[in-house]
Amino acid sequence: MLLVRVLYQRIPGLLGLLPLLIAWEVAGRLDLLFVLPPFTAVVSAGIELVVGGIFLPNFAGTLRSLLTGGTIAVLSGLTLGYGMARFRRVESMFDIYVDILLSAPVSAIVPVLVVLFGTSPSAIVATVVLSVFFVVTINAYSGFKQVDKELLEMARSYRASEFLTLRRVLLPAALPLLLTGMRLGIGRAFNGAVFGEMLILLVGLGGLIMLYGSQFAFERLDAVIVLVVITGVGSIWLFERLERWLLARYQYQPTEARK
Amino acid sequence: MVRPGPDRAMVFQHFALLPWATVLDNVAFPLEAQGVQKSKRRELATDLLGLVGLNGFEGFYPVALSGGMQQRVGLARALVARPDVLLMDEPFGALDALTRTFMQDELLKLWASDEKTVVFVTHSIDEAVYLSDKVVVMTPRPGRVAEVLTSTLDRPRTADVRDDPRFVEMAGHIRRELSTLMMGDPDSQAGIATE
Repeated sequence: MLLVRVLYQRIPGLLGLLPLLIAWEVAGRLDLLFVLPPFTAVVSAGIELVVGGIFLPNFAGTLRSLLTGGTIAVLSGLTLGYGMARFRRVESMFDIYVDILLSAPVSAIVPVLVVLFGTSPSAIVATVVLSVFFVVTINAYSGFKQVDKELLEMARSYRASEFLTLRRVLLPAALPLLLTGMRLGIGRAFNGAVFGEMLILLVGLGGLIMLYGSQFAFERLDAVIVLVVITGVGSIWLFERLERWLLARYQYQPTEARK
Repeated sequence: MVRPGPDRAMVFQHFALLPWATVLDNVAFPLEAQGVQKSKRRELATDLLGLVGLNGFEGFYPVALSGGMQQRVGLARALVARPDVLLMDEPFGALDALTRTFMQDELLKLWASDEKTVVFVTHSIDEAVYLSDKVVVMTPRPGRVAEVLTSTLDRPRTADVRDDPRFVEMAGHIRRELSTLMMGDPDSQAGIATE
Protein backbone atom coordinates (compact mmCIF):
# COMPACT_ATOMS: atom_id res chain seq x y z
CA MET A 1 0.00 0.00 0.00
CA LEU A 2 1.12 3.50 -0.76
CA LEU A 3 0.84 4.68 2.84
CA VAL A 4 3.03 1.83 4.06
CA ARG A 5 5.61 2.60 1.38
CA VAL A 6 5.67 6.28 2.30
CA LEU A 7 6.14 5.39 5.98
CA TYR A 8 8.89 2.93 5.12
CA GLN A 9 10.79 5.64 3.21
CA ARG A 10 10.52 7.92 6.22
CA ILE A 11 11.84 5.44 8.79
CA PRO A 12 15.22 7.22 9.25
CA GLY A 13 13.37 10.51 9.79
CA LEU A 14 10.90 8.91 12.17
CA LEU A 15 13.76 7.49 14.27
CA GLY A 16 14.68 11.08 15.06
CA LEU A 17 11.44 11.28 17.05
CA LEU A 18 12.55 8.54 19.42
CA PRO A 19 14.49 10.74 21.91
CA LEU A 20 11.54 13.13 22.09
CA LEU A 21 9.09 10.30 22.79
CA ILE A 22 11.36 8.80 25.46
CA ALA A 23 11.76 12.19 27.12
CA TRP A 24 7.99 12.61 27.00
CA GLU A 25 7.42 9.20 28.60
CA VAL A 26 9.96 9.88 31.37
CA ALA A 27 8.61 13.37 32.06
CA GLY A 28 5.08 11.93 32.18
CA ARG A 29 5.99 9.19 34.62
CA LEU A 30 7.84 11.62 36.87
CA ASP A 31 4.66 13.73 36.83
CA LEU A 32 6.66 16.85 36.00
CA LEU A 33 3.84 18.64 34.28
CA PHE A 34 0.19 17.88 34.84
CA VAL A 35 -0.75 18.55 31.18
CA LEU A 36 1.76 15.93 30.10
CA PRO A 37 0.73 12.37 30.93
CA PRO A 38 3.14 9.58 29.87
CA PHE A 39 3.28 8.97 26.12
CA THR A 40 2.09 5.38 26.49
CA ALA A 41 -1.00 6.56 28.37
CA VAL A 42 -1.72 9.00 25.55
CA VAL A 43 -1.32 6.21 23.00
CA SER A 44 -3.76 3.94 24.81
CA ALA A 45 -6.21 6.83 25.16
CA GLY A 46 -5.82 7.38 21.43
CA ILE A 47 -6.49 3.73 20.64
CA GLU A 48 -9.55 3.87 22.87
CA LEU A 49 -10.83 6.93 21.01
CA VAL A 50 -10.34 5.31 17.62
CA VAL A 51 -11.77 1.88 18.59
CA GLY A 52 -14.56 3.40 20.63
CA GLY A 53 -15.86 5.18 17.52
CA ILE A 54 -15.38 8.71 18.82
CA PHE A 55 -12.43 9.76 16.71
CA LEU A 56 -13.51 8.72 13.22
CA PRO A 57 -16.90 10.52 12.94
CA ASN A 58 -15.33 13.73 14.22
CA PHE A 59 -12.32 13.26 11.98
CA ALA A 60 -14.65 12.78 9.00
CA GLY A 61 -16.41 16.03 9.85
CA THR A 62 -13.14 17.92 10.02
CA LEU A 63 -11.95 16.28 6.82
CA ARG A 64 -15.13 17.33 5.03
CA SER A 65 -14.73 21.04 5.83
CA LEU A 66 -11.03 20.71 5.05
CA LEU A 67 -11.59 19.23 1.60
CA THR A 68 -14.50 21.52 0.71
CA GLY A 69 -12.64 24.61 1.83
CA GLY A 70 -9.38 23.44 0.30
CA THR A 71 -10.96 22.78 -3.08
CA ILE A 72 -12.67 26.18 -3.16
CA ALA A 73 -9.45 27.89 -2.09
CA VAL A 74 -7.25 26.07 -4.62
CA LEU A 75 -9.60 26.65 -7.56
CA SER A 76 -10.14 30.33 -6.82
CA GLY A 77 -6.51 30.90 -5.81
CA LEU A 78 -5.15 29.39 -9.02
CA THR A 79 -7.61 31.40 -11.09
CA LEU A 80 -6.78 34.68 -9.37
CA GLY A 81 -3.04 34.00 -9.49
CA TYR A 82 -3.30 33.28 -13.20
CA GLY A 83 -5.41 36.38 -13.81
CA MET A 84 -3.01 38.60 -11.90
CA ALA A 85 0.04 37.22 -13.68
CA ARG A 86 -1.46 37.50 -17.18
CA PHE A 87 -3.58 40.64 -17.09
CA ARG A 88 -2.17 43.96 -15.93
CA ARG A 89 -5.56 45.27 -14.88
CA VAL A 90 -6.37 42.28 -12.68
CA GLU A 91 -2.91 42.59 -11.16
CA SER A 92 -3.21 46.22 -10.14
CA MET A 93 -6.73 45.61 -8.83
CA PHE A 94 -5.98 42.70 -6.52
CA ASP A 95 -2.34 43.25 -5.61
CA ILE A 96 -3.08 45.28 -2.50
CA TYR A 97 -5.81 42.91 -1.23
CA VAL A 98 -3.52 39.93 -1.43
CA ASP A 99 -0.81 41.78 0.45
CA ILE A 100 -3.23 42.89 3.14
CA LEU A 101 -4.83 39.51 3.66
CA LEU A 102 -1.54 37.65 3.55
CA SER A 103 -0.32 39.56 6.56
CA ALA A 104 -3.66 39.78 8.39
CA PRO A 105 -4.19 36.88 10.83
CA VAL A 106 -7.15 34.72 9.84
CA SER A 107 -8.11 34.40 13.51
CA ALA A 108 -8.91 38.11 13.49
CA ILE A 109 -11.36 37.59 10.64
CA VAL A 110 -13.18 34.65 12.21
CA PRO A 111 -15.66 36.85 14.15
CA VAL A 112 -16.55 38.52 10.86
CA LEU A 113 -17.14 35.09 9.32
CA VAL A 114 -19.45 34.15 12.20
CA VAL A 115 -21.50 37.27 11.54
CA LEU A 116 -21.60 36.45 7.83
CA PHE A 117 -22.33 32.73 7.98
CA GLY A 118 -23.72 32.29 11.48
CA THR A 119 -22.40 29.55 13.76
CA SER A 120 -22.68 27.01 10.95
CA PRO A 121 -20.41 24.54 9.18
CA SER A 122 -20.15 27.10 6.35
CA ALA A 123 -18.29 29.42 8.70
CA ILE A 124 -15.73 26.66 9.33
CA VAL A 125 -15.37 26.04 5.59
CA ALA A 126 -14.89 29.79 5.13
CA THR A 127 -12.11 29.75 7.75
CA VAL A 128 -10.35 27.00 5.78
CA VAL A 129 -10.81 28.91 2.51
CA LEU A 130 -9.29 32.06 3.97
CA SER A 131 -6.40 30.13 5.51
CA VAL A 132 -5.47 28.40 2.26
CA PHE A 133 -6.47 30.91 -0.42
CA PHE A 134 -3.62 33.39 -0.14
CA VAL A 135 -0.69 31.05 -0.07
CA VAL A 136 -2.08 29.30 -3.18
CA THR A 137 -2.71 32.64 -4.92
CA ILE A 138 0.70 34.11 -4.16
CA ASN A 139 2.54 31.03 -5.39
CA ALA A 140 0.39 30.68 -8.51
CA TYR A 141 0.93 34.38 -9.22
CA SER A 142 4.71 34.17 -9.09
CA GLY A 143 4.66 30.79 -10.88
CA PHE A 144 2.74 32.18 -13.85
CA LYS A 145 4.68 35.43 -13.70
CA GLN A 146 8.13 33.91 -14.05
CA VAL A 147 7.41 31.89 -17.18
CA ASP A 148 10.18 32.31 -19.76
CA LYS A 149 9.31 35.38 -21.85
CA GLU A 150 10.75 33.87 -25.02
CA LEU A 151 8.38 30.89 -24.77
CA LEU A 152 5.39 33.23 -24.43
CA GLU A 153 6.65 35.23 -27.40
CA MET A 154 6.98 31.97 -29.33
CA ALA A 155 3.39 30.99 -28.53
CA ARG A 156 2.18 34.44 -29.56
CA SER A 157 4.17 34.39 -32.80
CA TYR A 158 2.41 31.18 -33.82
CA ARG A 159 -0.89 32.77 -32.80
CA ALA A 160 -1.67 30.18 -30.14
CA SER A 161 -4.94 30.83 -28.33
CA GLU A 162 -4.83 31.80 -24.66
CA PHE A 163 -6.15 28.33 -23.82
CA LEU A 164 -3.41 26.55 -25.77
CA THR A 165 -0.78 28.87 -24.28
CA LEU A 166 -2.12 28.02 -20.83
CA ARG A 167 -2.06 24.29 -21.49
CA ARG A 168 1.25 24.02 -23.33
CA VAL A 169 3.33 26.85 -21.86
CA LEU A 170 1.96 28.45 -18.69
CA LEU A 171 0.74 25.43 -16.74
CA PRO A 172 3.79 23.18 -17.22
CA ALA A 173 6.11 26.11 -16.52
CA ALA A 174 4.29 27.18 -13.38
CA LEU A 175 3.55 23.67 -12.11
CA PRO A 176 6.29 23.49 -9.43
CA LEU A 177 5.09 26.66 -7.74
CA LEU A 178 1.41 25.75 -8.14
CA LEU A 179 2.14 22.53 -6.26
CA THR A 180 4.25 24.32 -3.65
CA GLY A 181 1.34 26.64 -2.94
CA MET A 182 -0.99 23.69 -2.50
CA ARG A 183 1.46 21.81 -0.28
CA LEU A 184 1.85 24.84 2.01
CA GLY A 185 -1.93 25.09 1.91
CA ILE A 186 -2.37 21.63 3.46
CA GLY A 187 -0.87 22.66 6.79
CA ARG A 188 -2.87 25.86 6.78
CA ALA A 189 -6.04 23.96 5.97
CA PHE A 190 -5.65 21.74 9.04
CA ASN A 191 -4.90 24.81 11.07
CA GLY A 192 -7.93 26.66 9.77
CA ALA A 193 -10.33 23.72 10.12
CA VAL A 194 -9.40 22.85 13.71
CA PHE A 195 -9.26 26.49 14.68
CA GLY A 196 -12.65 27.18 13.14
CA GLU A 197 -14.19 24.20 14.91
CA MET A 198 -12.79 25.32 18.26
CA LEU A 199 -13.96 28.86 17.87
CA ILE A 200 -17.20 28.63 15.95
CA LEU A 201 -19.11 25.40 16.45
CA LEU A 202 -17.35 22.90 18.75
CA VAL A 203 -17.59 20.05 16.25
CA GLY A 204 -15.02 17.73 14.70
CA LEU A 205 -11.50 17.44 16.04
CA GLY A 206 -11.41 21.05 17.17
CA GLY A 207 -14.56 20.37 19.15
CA LEU A 208 -12.95 17.32 20.79
CA ILE A 209 -9.91 19.37 21.73
CA MET A 210 -12.06 22.01 23.40
CA LEU A 211 -14.16 19.35 25.16
CA TYR A 212 -11.26 17.37 26.60
CA GLY A 213 -9.42 20.57 27.46
CA SER A 214 -12.33 21.81 29.55
CA GLN A 215 -12.60 18.40 31.24
CA PHE A 216 -8.87 18.36 32.02
CA ALA A 217 -8.80 14.95 30.25
CA PHE A 218 -5.20 15.36 29.16
CA GLU A 219 -4.62 11.81 27.93
CA ARG A 220 -7.47 12.19 25.47
CA LEU A 221 -6.62 15.79 24.67
CA ASP A 222 -3.01 14.93 23.82
CA ALA A 223 -4.17 11.88 21.87
CA VAL A 224 -6.38 14.03 19.63
CA ILE A 225 -3.56 16.53 19.12
CA VAL A 226 -1.16 13.73 18.18
CA LEU A 227 -3.70 12.26 15.77
CA VAL A 228 -4.22 15.67 14.14
CA VAL A 229 -0.48 16.11 13.75
CA ILE A 230 -0.09 12.60 12.30
CA THR A 231 -2.82 13.10 9.69
CA GLY A 232 -1.47 16.54 8.81
CA VAL A 233 2.10 15.39 8.35
CA GLY A 234 0.92 12.23 6.56
CA SER A 235 -1.13 14.27 4.08
CA ILE A 236 1.87 16.46 3.33
CA TRP A 237 4.05 13.39 2.75
CA LEU A 238 1.48 11.87 0.42
CA PHE A 239 1.16 15.17 -1.44
CA GLU A 240 4.95 15.36 -1.84
CA ARG A 241 4.83 11.99 -3.60
CA LEU A 242 2.06 13.19 -5.90
CA GLU A 243 4.11 16.32 -6.52
CA ARG A 244 7.24 14.39 -7.50
CA TRP A 245 5.22 12.13 -9.77
CA LEU A 246 3.55 15.07 -11.51
CA LEU A 247 6.80 16.98 -11.94
CA ALA A 248 8.52 13.96 -13.42
CA ARG A 249 5.58 13.54 -15.78
CA TYR A 250 5.14 17.12 -16.96
CA GLN A 251 8.31 18.93 -16.16
CA TYR A 252 11.94 18.39 -16.51
CA GLN A 253 11.65 15.12 -18.33
CA PRO A 254 14.13 12.28 -18.53
CA THR A 255 16.98 12.55 -21.00
CA GLU A 256 15.69 9.56 -22.92
CA ALA A 257 12.59 9.23 -24.94
CA ARG A 258 9.40 8.43 -23.13
CA LYS A 259 8.26 5.13 -24.60
CA MET B 1 4.89 44.24 -39.67
CA VAL B 2 2.57 44.82 -36.74
CA ARG B 3 1.31 41.46 -35.52
CA PRO B 4 1.92 37.74 -36.01
CA GLY B 5 0.42 36.25 -39.12
CA PRO B 6 0.03 32.80 -40.67
CA ASP B 7 2.17 33.80 -43.65
CA ARG B 8 5.35 34.19 -41.63
CA ALA B 9 7.17 32.15 -39.03
CA MET B 10 9.91 32.93 -36.57
CA VAL B 11 13.11 31.13 -35.61
CA PHE B 12 14.33 32.27 -32.19
CA GLN B 13 17.81 33.11 -30.97
CA HIS B 14 17.58 30.84 -27.94
CA PHE B 15 15.45 28.25 -29.78
CA ALA B 16 12.37 28.78 -27.55
CA LEU B 17 11.55 25.07 -27.40
CA LEU B 18 9.11 23.80 -24.78
CA PRO B 19 11.32 21.75 -22.42
CA TRP B 20 8.37 19.63 -21.25
CA ALA B 21 7.24 18.67 -24.74
CA THR B 22 8.80 16.08 -27.03
CA VAL B 23 10.58 17.08 -30.22
CA LEU B 24 7.52 16.00 -32.20
CA ASP B 25 5.11 18.04 -30.07
CA ASN B 26 7.39 21.06 -30.32
CA VAL B 27 7.45 20.90 -34.11
CA ALA B 28 3.68 20.35 -34.21
CA PHE B 29 2.95 23.37 -32.01
CA PRO B 30 2.12 25.85 -34.84
CA LEU B 31 -0.28 23.27 -36.31
CA GLU B 32 -1.87 22.76 -32.91
CA ALA B 33 -2.33 26.53 -32.70
CA GLN B 34 -4.10 26.41 -36.06
CA GLY B 35 -6.39 23.62 -34.87
CA VAL B 36 -5.02 20.92 -37.18
CA GLN B 37 -6.08 17.37 -36.23
CA LYS B 38 -3.70 15.31 -34.14
CA SER B 39 -2.99 12.59 -36.73
CA LYS B 40 -2.35 15.20 -39.41
CA ARG B 41 -0.08 17.12 -37.04
CA ARG B 42 2.01 14.03 -36.37
CA GLU B 43 2.32 13.31 -40.05
CA LEU B 44 3.41 16.83 -41.06
CA ALA B 45 5.76 17.23 -38.10
CA THR B 46 7.41 13.88 -38.81
CA ASP B 47 7.95 14.93 -42.43
CA LEU B 48 9.61 18.16 -41.36
CA LEU B 49 11.85 16.38 -38.87
CA GLY B 50 13.02 14.19 -41.73
CA LEU B 51 13.75 17.30 -43.77
CA VAL B 52 16.02 18.76 -41.07
CA GLY B 53 17.70 15.40 -40.51
CA LEU B 54 16.18 14.51 -37.16
CA ASN B 55 14.53 11.22 -38.04
CA GLY B 56 14.19 9.02 -34.99
CA PHE B 57 14.31 11.86 -32.46
CA GLU B 58 10.52 12.40 -32.36
CA GLY B 59 10.11 11.15 -28.78
CA PHE B 60 13.15 12.93 -27.34
CA TYR B 61 12.95 15.97 -25.09
CA PRO B 62 14.94 19.08 -26.07
CA VAL B 63 17.45 18.73 -23.19
CA ALA B 64 18.66 15.47 -24.73
CA LEU B 65 19.70 17.26 -27.95
CA SER B 66 22.76 19.37 -28.77
CA GLY B 67 22.37 23.08 -29.52
CA GLY B 68 22.55 22.54 -33.25
CA MET B 69 19.91 19.83 -33.11
CA GLN B 70 17.68 22.00 -30.94
CA GLN B 71 17.82 24.79 -33.47
CA ARG B 72 16.98 22.32 -36.22
CA VAL B 73 13.85 21.53 -34.22
CA GLY B 74 13.20 25.28 -34.12
CA LEU B 75 13.67 25.46 -37.87
CA ALA B 76 11.34 22.51 -38.47
CA ARG B 77 8.73 24.15 -36.25
CA ALA B 78 8.96 27.37 -38.25
CA LEU B 79 8.61 25.54 -41.56
CA VAL B 80 5.83 23.13 -40.56
CA ALA B 81 2.97 25.54 -41.23
CA ARG B 82 4.35 26.43 -44.68
CA PRO B 83 4.91 30.17 -44.17
CA ASP B 84 5.83 32.44 -47.10
CA VAL B 85 8.46 34.29 -45.13
CA LEU B 86 10.88 32.92 -42.57
CA LEU B 87 12.06 35.37 -39.91
CA MET B 88 15.31 34.38 -38.27
CA ASP B 89 16.57 36.44 -35.33
CA GLU B 90 20.25 35.57 -34.89
CA PRO B 91 19.27 31.91 -35.07
CA PHE B 92 22.80 30.55 -34.95
CA GLY B 93 24.13 33.10 -32.46
CA ALA B 94 23.94 30.68 -29.53
CA LEU B 95 25.86 27.93 -31.35
CA ASP B 96 29.60 27.24 -31.40
CA ALA B 97 31.55 28.27 -34.50
CA LEU B 98 31.77 24.83 -36.11
CA THR B 99 28.11 23.99 -35.57
CA ARG B 100 27.28 27.42 -36.85
CA THR B 101 28.95 26.96 -40.25
CA PHE B 102 27.40 23.51 -40.47
CA MET B 103 23.93 24.96 -39.80
CA GLN B 104 24.51 27.66 -42.43
CA ASP B 105 25.09 24.97 -45.05
CA GLU B 106 22.00 23.07 -43.81
CA LEU B 107 19.96 26.24 -44.16
CA LEU B 108 21.24 26.81 -47.70
CA LYS B 109 20.28 23.25 -48.62
CA LEU B 110 16.80 23.63 -47.14
CA TRP B 111 16.39 26.96 -48.84
CA ALA B 112 17.39 25.53 -52.20
CA SER B 113 14.42 23.12 -52.04
CA ASP B 114 11.74 25.85 -52.10
CA GLU B 115 13.49 29.24 -52.24
CA LYS B 116 11.37 30.89 -49.56
CA THR B 117 12.09 34.47 -48.56
CA VAL B 118 14.21 34.53 -45.42
CA VAL B 119 14.86 37.62 -43.32
CA PHE B 120 17.94 36.79 -41.30
CA VAL B 121 19.34 39.03 -38.58
CA THR B 122 22.98 38.46 -37.71
CA HIS B 123 26.03 40.12 -36.19
CA SER B 124 28.37 38.04 -38.32
CA ILE B 125 29.55 39.66 -41.55
CA ASP B 126 30.73 36.31 -42.87
CA GLU B 127 27.31 34.76 -42.23
CA ALA B 128 25.54 37.66 -43.92
CA VAL B 129 27.65 37.57 -47.06
CA TYR B 130 27.66 33.79 -47.23
CA LEU B 131 23.88 33.33 -47.04
CA SER B 132 22.35 36.39 -48.66
CA ASP B 133 21.17 37.78 -51.94
CA LYS B 134 20.74 41.15 -50.33
CA VAL B 135 22.52 42.52 -47.27
CA VAL B 136 20.97 45.42 -45.36
CA VAL B 137 23.45 47.21 -43.11
CA MET B 138 21.76 48.86 -40.13
CA THR B 139 22.91 51.81 -38.06
CA PRO B 140 23.24 51.41 -34.31
CA ARG B 141 20.64 53.20 -32.14
CA PRO B 142 18.33 54.06 -33.70
CA GLY B 143 18.36 51.06 -36.03
CA ARG B 144 17.97 52.55 -39.48
CA VAL B 145 18.95 51.22 -42.87
CA ALA B 146 22.43 52.48 -43.72
CA GLU B 147 22.98 50.65 -46.97
CA VAL B 148 21.51 47.86 -49.08
CA LEU B 149 23.99 45.67 -50.95
CA THR B 150 23.11 43.09 -53.58
CA SER B 151 25.25 39.98 -53.72
CA THR B 152 26.87 39.01 -57.01
CA LEU B 153 27.82 35.54 -55.73
CA ASP B 154 26.39 32.53 -57.59
CA ARG B 155 24.24 29.81 -56.09
CA PRO B 156 24.44 27.11 -54.97
CA ARG B 157 27.18 28.19 -52.60
CA THR B 158 29.69 26.05 -50.79
CA ALA B 159 32.29 26.90 -48.15
CA ASP B 160 34.86 27.66 -50.89
CA VAL B 161 32.88 30.72 -51.95
CA ARG B 162 34.58 32.46 -49.03
CA ASP B 163 37.81 32.54 -51.11
CA ASP B 164 36.05 34.22 -54.02
CA PRO B 165 37.38 37.80 -54.51
CA ARG B 166 33.79 39.08 -54.72
CA PHE B 167 33.09 37.58 -51.27
CA VAL B 168 36.22 39.13 -49.80
CA GLU B 169 35.46 42.48 -51.37
CA MET B 170 31.84 42.56 -50.12
CA ALA B 171 32.77 41.44 -46.61
CA GLY B 172 35.52 44.05 -46.47
CA HIS B 173 33.14 46.77 -47.59
CA ILE B 174 30.62 45.89 -44.87
CA ARG B 175 33.36 45.69 -42.24
CA ARG B 176 34.64 49.17 -43.06
CA GLU B 177 31.15 50.60 -43.15
CA LEU B 178 30.22 49.08 -39.80
CA SER B 179 33.35 50.31 -38.09
CA THR B 180 32.64 53.84 -39.30
CA LEU B 181 29.07 53.57 -38.02
CA MET B 182 30.14 52.24 -34.66
CA MET B 183 32.74 54.93 -34.14
CA GLY B 184 29.86 57.33 -33.48
CA ASP B 185 28.39 55.00 -30.84
CA PRO B 186 31.07 52.77 -29.38
CA ASP B 187 28.84 50.90 -26.91
CA SER B 188 26.48 49.61 -29.49
CA GLN B 189 26.54 46.69 -31.84
CA ALA B 190 25.61 47.52 -35.37
CA GLY B 191 23.55 44.83 -36.98
CA ILE B 192 23.09 43.33 -40.36
CA ALA B 193 19.79 42.19 -41.72
CA THR B 194 20.04 39.97 -44.72
CA GLU B 195 17.74 38.45 -47.20
